[in-house]
Amino acid sequence: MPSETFLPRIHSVFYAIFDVKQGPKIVYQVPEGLIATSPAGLSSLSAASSPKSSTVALEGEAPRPSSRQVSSPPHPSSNRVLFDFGDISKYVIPSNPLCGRLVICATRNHRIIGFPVSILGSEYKRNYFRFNLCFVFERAADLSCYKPIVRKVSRVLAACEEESMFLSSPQSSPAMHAILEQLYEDLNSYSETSIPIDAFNSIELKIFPFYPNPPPVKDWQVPLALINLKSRVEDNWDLTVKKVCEHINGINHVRRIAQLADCDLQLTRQAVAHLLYYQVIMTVDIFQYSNMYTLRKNVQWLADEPHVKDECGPYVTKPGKPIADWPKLLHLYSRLKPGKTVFEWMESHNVHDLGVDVRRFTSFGVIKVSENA
Amino acid sequence: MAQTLLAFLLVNSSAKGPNLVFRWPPNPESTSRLSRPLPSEDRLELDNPWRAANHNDSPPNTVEANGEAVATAAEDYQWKSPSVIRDRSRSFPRTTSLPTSAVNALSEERLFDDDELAEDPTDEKYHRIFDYSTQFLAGMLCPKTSLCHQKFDLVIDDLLFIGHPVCVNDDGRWQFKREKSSSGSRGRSSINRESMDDIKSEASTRAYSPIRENESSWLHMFHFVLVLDLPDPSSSASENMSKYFDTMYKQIAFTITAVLFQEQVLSNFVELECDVLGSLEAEYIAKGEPFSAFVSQALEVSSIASVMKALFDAVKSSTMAYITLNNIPLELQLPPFLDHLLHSEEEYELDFVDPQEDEDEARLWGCDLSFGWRLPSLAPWKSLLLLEGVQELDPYINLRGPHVSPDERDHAEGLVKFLEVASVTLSLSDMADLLGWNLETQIYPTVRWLVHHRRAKVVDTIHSDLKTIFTIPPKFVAPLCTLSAEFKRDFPQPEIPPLPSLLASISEASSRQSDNHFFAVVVRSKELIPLYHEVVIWLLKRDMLFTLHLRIRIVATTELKARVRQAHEYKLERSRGQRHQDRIGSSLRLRDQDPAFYDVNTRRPGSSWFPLPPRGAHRFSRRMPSAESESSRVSETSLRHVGEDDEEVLTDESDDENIAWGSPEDTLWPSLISDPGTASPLERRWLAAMSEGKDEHIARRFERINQYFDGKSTDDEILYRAEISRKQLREVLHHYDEYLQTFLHPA
Repeated sequence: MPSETFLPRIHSVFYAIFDVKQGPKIVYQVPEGLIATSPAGLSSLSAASSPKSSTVALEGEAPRPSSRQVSSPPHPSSNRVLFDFGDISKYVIPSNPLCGRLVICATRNHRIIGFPVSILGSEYKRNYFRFNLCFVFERAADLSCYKPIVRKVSRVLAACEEESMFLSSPQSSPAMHAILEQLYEDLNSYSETSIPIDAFNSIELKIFPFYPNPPPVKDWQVPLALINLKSRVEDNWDLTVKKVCEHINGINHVRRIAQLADCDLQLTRQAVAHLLYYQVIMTVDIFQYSNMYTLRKNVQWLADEPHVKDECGPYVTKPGKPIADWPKLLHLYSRLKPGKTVFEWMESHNVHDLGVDVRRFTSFGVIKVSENA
Repeated sequence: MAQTLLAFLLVNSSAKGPNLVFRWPPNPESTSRLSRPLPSEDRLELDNPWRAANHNDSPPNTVEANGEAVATAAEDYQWKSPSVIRDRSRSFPRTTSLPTSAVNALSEERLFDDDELAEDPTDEKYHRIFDYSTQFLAGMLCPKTSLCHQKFDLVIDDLLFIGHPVCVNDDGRWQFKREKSSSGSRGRSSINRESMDDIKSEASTRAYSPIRENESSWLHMFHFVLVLDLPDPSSSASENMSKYFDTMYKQIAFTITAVLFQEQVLSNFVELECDVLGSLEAEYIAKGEPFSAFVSQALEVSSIASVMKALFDAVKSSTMAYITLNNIPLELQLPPFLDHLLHSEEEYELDFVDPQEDEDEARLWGCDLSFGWRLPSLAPWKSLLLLEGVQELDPYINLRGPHVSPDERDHAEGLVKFLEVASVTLSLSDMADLLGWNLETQIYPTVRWLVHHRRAKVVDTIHSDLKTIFTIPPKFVAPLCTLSAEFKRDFPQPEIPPLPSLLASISEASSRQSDNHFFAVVVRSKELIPLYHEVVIWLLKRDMLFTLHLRIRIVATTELKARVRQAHEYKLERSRGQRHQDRIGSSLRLRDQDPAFYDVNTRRPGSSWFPLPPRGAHRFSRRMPSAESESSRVSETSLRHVGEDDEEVLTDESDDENIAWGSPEDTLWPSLISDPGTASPLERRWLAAMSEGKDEHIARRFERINQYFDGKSTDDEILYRAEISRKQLREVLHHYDEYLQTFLHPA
């Protein structure tokens, strides 16, 4: 999956609750044994969970939950242990002021993101039920794309608990293990998942990479396609975006596009902003013969780049004219200076006779500089 | 300016539990916002069908009124960059409702708050911060001891808490950590270790005994915390965000903690301060005094409290914080361009002087200055501009403490000498010569120190007669009218034009091909040079001038290439006529060594789109037969290989053998020799041919310096590296004009 290259990898998923007798504890974790639970809590954990696993066995469910109960104690010899649960338990199952808030805490090498939830109800022994489903990442991971995921998972689970005691009832709670497994596998492999929980609830997730917002679009900016937009247009696209795309040619500015496409100006701006967000277009200035251009520092690298050298000639030459050589074109670029309009520059260097399309010539330079800025 | 910084907190933990000792500012506030972006900022989509249906027949003022109501309701929730609302936030009334309550689906739960009791309003300010009880928040900020002595960060919704908690060791004593620590068994970060070593070594230079005999220490842990407002992720790229937070941690949280920890170990400093603040707070609460009274009193009695205030003010005004903790002077600051990381690149796209991202450059500046400083490269041909305040700079200021080595005193004296010599017309290497200092070990560290303390900045060396070509930046630091007024005040002389016209002539000048330097454009008279020196320095200090640098590239023209090929053909012909047999032998050997040679030649007529010159075609047709007869002659030539005549042929042709005649490189199409320093044999042949018919001394100079004609080295760099004068360079440029391209742009 190409998406794996920029989405952080989940190291572990775990589900923790506030246990009436033991306080905060991890009920299930996938993969198992990565998070150490303290030795003191361990014996009581297995004691407390034995009746639960026997009910499961009685119901004839898959033996997986009970086998998990056996294998859940951490192997002291294993160096795969990520961290000790005791260190972070107060951030995973916190007291009320933190419930309903997104909490990210960190250990030396890892970062744990969760959304602790506390549900009130007289049916609970303490009149509340607290749980948290947490994801563990590398410490350096960027978690912004997981924040909505974590919120949503907690929201759905809270709804299930409120409707049918899904989490707190011993009959249904072992299903959490399978949910964790699927979250771990699917999100890491496919960046999306669909987990049906019961007849009414399911967890539907898709991770989107987070891009910064584009700057506001101005009416006088000229959108310029960086990919072949027309080949990407699909029928179910937004109508305005489809109409706007047809008029993006590197010449028309936003206001003109709105006129040509017969679209609302504000909607046109939004459509252009949307394309900018996905970085399939960039904006340049309106080309005029009174414009002035100047060299930027990166020309020193760009002049040696094969992709610049090879693309420039064919791109900037008018059809049917012989293609000027790169040293000649580079020389023309080097003579663009502040204080000298494009018109004056054309006059003094006989640009017209060379068969160079000046608009494409300047936009080529602007594109290459900003691509490599 | 660190827009995101909301507050500093000092938290401690003792047998009595966690406690918030002090905070600055007294009532920090976070900005409220939606956890998701609003669907649309222009409210057009809110009810488009309605809008379409009522387009004409509804009075416009109703629409507007509705729109405004929506806008104001939404305004409070929409996240804005802190700089936008900074001014407003000062006058914000303290919001009593929970900021996120309208947002989070599960917020009703929080209405039930079990660890909170009804408090009277006087008390409330003592016990609440960011809508949490101080007790609760302090508990969250005091982690388990296994998470102490390392970087701490915790995100709660939109608040980020960064710090470096430290605690007593297993015996309950404040001690410097030994090499082996219980918590550091896995993945100990090198930074932590290194810095703890720093603290240790720093402490060992002082003649205190590490631990005082006071077993009464009640302080278990303390934690100096930075509270930051997490910027909206849509505002900038995420990797920038983490770099930003890391810089805040390293420059402020870690440094302060290191000093506090040292002082706690050596003199129980933090505990005493906590005692003072704790009892003061208890006293003021008991007396029923308002919280503000406690804060102002605390600033007077506690040095930690006043340090927190001074540091906060300095960070917010992006200046250096000069603070003193238990008589240890500290200078803290954040990189000046740190906040730029939080904005999308487009906003700063106009900075056409790109910051250096080169690793070598970063190494020269050192890790402290490499990030968020946007420094130009540090090179021998650069110069140094001293900024305001440097005259008042007292090099001995830091040397009044009790622990000054004679070394440092020498440094201070050196610095005084350096400041006397430094001038924008002298390059760093000139300064090194004048002072008799070593460039790398003495000049650079001094420059780094001055730049770090914002006393100087690195600029391009200015020609002493002001014959430097300048350009102006796209944006100024202040509005032009303000700058003009200041300029008029500082330079009332009638000879000096007003600032706008001065800038206009500078800007316009760079389009000229000659006489585009400052002297020719503006000064024009030798008597005015000293005066204009001041003008240039004035402009440089405000980043209003950039030096344009000349870069040079070499072009191998068609005419030149044809000439070289012709000469080659001629030589080939001659040797062919003289030693027919040998020619076949050598050309066969050549082909055997380089299969590409054969391939390229045979494919040429079909695939080449460039019309072959008649001579090339001729050569091609003549070579074919020899290729056909290749197999029959191989044995013959290999036998003849040892002859004496052959030796001569070989040496004559050996240079040619390396040249890829006929390869894709060998065309008559003009091309750039992109890196003459590592030119291919064919390119070397072209370079040599450029010198044909030139003066011998010019040709020799060209040969020596053409390695710098790569379009990357600046004129200053060429002059420094090749050790020639500007005039000599100009001579070369003049004589080789037809083969050279020049570029003028900022460094």
